[in-house]
Amino acid sequence: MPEFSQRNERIVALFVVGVLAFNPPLLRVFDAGPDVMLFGIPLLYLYLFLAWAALIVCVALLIERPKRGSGKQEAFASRETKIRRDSG
Amino acid sequence: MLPAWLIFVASFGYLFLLFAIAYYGDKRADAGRSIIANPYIYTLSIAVYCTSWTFYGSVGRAASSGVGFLPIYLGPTLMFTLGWFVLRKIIRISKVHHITSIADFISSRYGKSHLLGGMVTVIAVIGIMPYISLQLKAVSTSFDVLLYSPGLNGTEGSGDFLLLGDTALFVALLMAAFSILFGTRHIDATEHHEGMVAAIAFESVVKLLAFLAVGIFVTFGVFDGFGDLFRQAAAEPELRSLMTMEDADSGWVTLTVLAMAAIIFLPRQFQVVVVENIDESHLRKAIWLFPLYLLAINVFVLPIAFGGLLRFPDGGIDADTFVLALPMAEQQPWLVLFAFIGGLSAATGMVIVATIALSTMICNDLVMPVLLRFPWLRLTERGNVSGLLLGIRRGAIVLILLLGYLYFRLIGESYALVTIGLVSFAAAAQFAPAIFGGIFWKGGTRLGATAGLSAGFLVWVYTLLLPSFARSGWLPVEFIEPGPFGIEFLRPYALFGLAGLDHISHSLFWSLLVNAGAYVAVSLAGRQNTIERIQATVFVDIFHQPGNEAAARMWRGSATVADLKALAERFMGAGRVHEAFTGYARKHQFDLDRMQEADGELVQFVERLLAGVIGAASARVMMASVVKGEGVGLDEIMEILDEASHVLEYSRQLELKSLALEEATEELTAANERLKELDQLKDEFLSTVTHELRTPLTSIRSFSEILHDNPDLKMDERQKFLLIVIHESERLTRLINQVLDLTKMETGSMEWRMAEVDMKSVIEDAVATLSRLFDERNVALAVNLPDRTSVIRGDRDQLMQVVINLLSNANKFCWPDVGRVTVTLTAGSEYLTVSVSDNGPGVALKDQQQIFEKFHQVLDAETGNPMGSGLGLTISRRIVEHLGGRIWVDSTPGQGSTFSFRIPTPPSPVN
Amino acid sequence: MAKSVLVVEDEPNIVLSLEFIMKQAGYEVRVAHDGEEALRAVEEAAPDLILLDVMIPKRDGYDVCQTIRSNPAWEGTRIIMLTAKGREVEREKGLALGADDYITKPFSTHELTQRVKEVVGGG
Repeated sequence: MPEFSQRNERIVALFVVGVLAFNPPLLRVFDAGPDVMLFGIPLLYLYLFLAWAALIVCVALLIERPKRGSGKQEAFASRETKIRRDSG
Repeated sequence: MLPAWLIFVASFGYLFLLFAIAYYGDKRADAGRSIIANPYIYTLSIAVYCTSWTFYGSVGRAASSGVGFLPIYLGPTLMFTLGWFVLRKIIRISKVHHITSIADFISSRYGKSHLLGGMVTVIAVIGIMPYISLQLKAVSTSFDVLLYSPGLNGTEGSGDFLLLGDTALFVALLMAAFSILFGTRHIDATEHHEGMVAAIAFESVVKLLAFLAVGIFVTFGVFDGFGDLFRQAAAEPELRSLMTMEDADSGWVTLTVLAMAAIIFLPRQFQVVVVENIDESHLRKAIWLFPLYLLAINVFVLPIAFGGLLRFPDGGIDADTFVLALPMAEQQPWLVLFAFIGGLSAATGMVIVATIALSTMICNDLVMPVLLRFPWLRLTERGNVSGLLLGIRRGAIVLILLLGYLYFRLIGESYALVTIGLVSFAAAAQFAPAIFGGIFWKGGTRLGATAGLSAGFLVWVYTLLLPSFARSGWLPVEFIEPGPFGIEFLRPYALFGLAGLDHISHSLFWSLLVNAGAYVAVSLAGRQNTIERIQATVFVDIFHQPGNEAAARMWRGSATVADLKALAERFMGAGRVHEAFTGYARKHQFDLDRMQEADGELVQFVERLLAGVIGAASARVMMASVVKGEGVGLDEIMEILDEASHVLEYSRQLELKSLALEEATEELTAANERLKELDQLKDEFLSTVTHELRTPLTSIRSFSEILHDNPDLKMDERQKFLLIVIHESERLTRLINQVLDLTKMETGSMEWRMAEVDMKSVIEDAVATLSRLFDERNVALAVNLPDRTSVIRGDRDQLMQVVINLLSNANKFCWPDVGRVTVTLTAGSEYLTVSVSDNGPGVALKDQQQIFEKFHQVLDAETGNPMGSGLGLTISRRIVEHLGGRIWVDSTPGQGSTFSFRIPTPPSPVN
Repeated sequence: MAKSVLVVEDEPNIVLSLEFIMKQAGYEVRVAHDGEEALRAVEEAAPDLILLDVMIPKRDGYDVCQTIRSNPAWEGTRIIMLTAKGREVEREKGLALGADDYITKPFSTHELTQRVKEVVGGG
């Protein structure tokens, strides 16, 4: 689906960022021990939840944003879906 | 604290409320006004992922490993990030093919294989057994905590109240009844359980609110906010390590991977995400809302865990029960009740969906195919099978819950909640190679999938299931250490000597390795039969298919409408079939009563209808009993299908190409016209050249013959004629040279002898050459040259030719005796300009451009005679333009004309 | 009485040669350098023969030929067209417009004399 390619690439990129952010090498960077706290919360906890929230926000923005230049493809896909549903 | 009766009343009240919601949901669905047709309900239903494991178990795991509970939620977040590719594709495939379960999906993908469907079902049932036992354990534990925890409760244990004396069994039976009421009220082709989904969504709200309530109470009620809580925890030496990765590290990656697989491949997740999805577009919101739900329900896990650890420092309370124990210890009866209901929500939600999903699989993919194999059952001829189907499913639900109970009784007591759950996750992960391979790789074969699944499953059994039996004492413990029959090599927790990993990672590594390995290797080694190839194409290219029409063309078999209807009625009941058929007829605008033979599309429709009830593989068998002549050349079908699946891609490309083509056509047309023009020009050129050559030739020949035939001509006449011959020969030579030069310039084969040329000397030489011509006609020639030399880069001979052309033209066009010609050289900063002015008749405006064209002959204003060969100016222009300059004419007719050309001067200080 | 020939041609040297040849063959020769001049000459006194070049200024040979043929008064005047454009089309066109013969340049002086004689008889 060439029309989608840029968004697809962004989705994959987000996935890769997520994989990196949520796994040991990067986690260790933020694994500062119980004495390093920010706003009274251990850095490791804060990082995990903030990174998680950030990923969700990015995905939401990416997925929900109205697409430019791919209207035709989208219309096509939804028409197909409609056919599918009708035949059910 | 809480009287037992209150707990029971609340529990039953809650379950009754759930049932009411489900009932209402179903009624609304029947009336065609769905209450679940929005992305938010869809998202909440996916949150059935959060079970007792999340509600109770996460806190337990957090209490022992810090953030180690998180991968179970980060994994799904990551998988949902990719949801647009993976989930959407699976959903689309399942909708098109009326897929009702994960077993159906895999069986359908690999050639509608009964064997695979059955195998997936067995793996799913056995694999999920621990998970269901986890729920039973959680609910019964929560009962026990509420009722029998003397330290917390204040009142003495009131165990006598329970007649059965076995909470878990009681819970299991209750849940079985509940699931039966929910999921198997009737048989529906789409296998949508709208009421159930509504109830599940409601449960997701309840468990989230309950957990948040406990979390907020602990954080802000018991402690003074996050800061206070974490500060106190950090002050306890034993708790400090929980704030690092130290205890969480082990298995972190494994858990993430497991959870990524589980969020799709657990049968109940497949049920809510894929089967119960009623609109593909709902996925768009769910992709980010579901991770958000996970985030929300996890925020307070660590605070509750630390709260519990700080509040019960002696370890007397199981961390898995902190969610209940904390409010109990703080004497908050209503919060306790709410938390208990929340936990009940989490457990019942999971059990209901899981058992419904599994019972569908058992019925469609395990029992029905077997029953259909026994001819003496005459199943294909029986009047109404829908009752039988319901019976099978209800039986399956009871069986599944009893299996769960059994596992709980045998093993569950000795494990923590999360550990039990992970065993199930590892089983679900076995579906990953067959499904991922199935939707992205056309090459996966039935044998490959069978080999991969069975190998992976066996390794799972060997490395996780059997050891758990051994550890619980149901197998000799020697099985684990030193290994079966004393063979160290085969130790189930360190297979082939692979030690150092936690049990789950170890099992996952080996099982997925042999699973994916066998899947790929066997697939590559073998061949697909035709139906496998068809299904592979249909699945992988789901987004590139034009619709069902192509598939319909596959059917060449014939069947009567009445036969098809009767067949469907046996499985779905007359009412629903009538509804479906009339709906179909309305959509396709034909009269079913008058239609005798079913066309391919209708046959397809009925097969999909049936597939929804009894699974793809069984539906195929049933259809074969009605449709005659189904054994058409499948290879031929394959061709059609291949063709059809690419039609879309082609048409899209065609659209783009036709645009490009249009443009190209326009260009071509233009080019063609130009070519035609050029062709015409060439023709004219040839004709003109011929004319120009023949004219002097005519004179030469005539006078030669005259001289030849008249030897007695007078001397002076003879001389005159000979001179004419000589002049005309010269003219001919000049013309031929000009034509050759022009051709060379046009084809680019002209040899330019580039050098630095002093324009001043060029003009001087040209004037010297032509002075006799000017004298002959008595035309005055004035020369205006600057003092210093004016050097440009060019071919001296060619430049000379230009100047001579202009001068001789000027001479030719001037009237004799009164004519005046002036040649001027101006050296500018960038250009040298040479102008030749005359006081001749001038050039009409319309001719000023054309005189530089080939053979455009300017007619003598007076006589109308054409003047010159018509090539001089054309050649001059070529030369000037080749040297980077420009040639033009300024003229007012009647007042003479000025021909000028300019050549750029070199930028360097050459001059 | 000698037959009269009108030479219509714009190339001075060709005019010269035609004049010479025709005179030598015993014809009375007049010269016109363009189409208009030619028609004026014909109006003045219709010649027995016109040697008419096609590529002449003002009104081309075809035009002149057509004009002469459209006037019944000049029926007796023969026309031989001369052209340096050797294409068959030109020849057809000339004959179709009423020319009596058609000669391509360069021509043989003998052949020219021969043709002229065939068309109008000896000078």
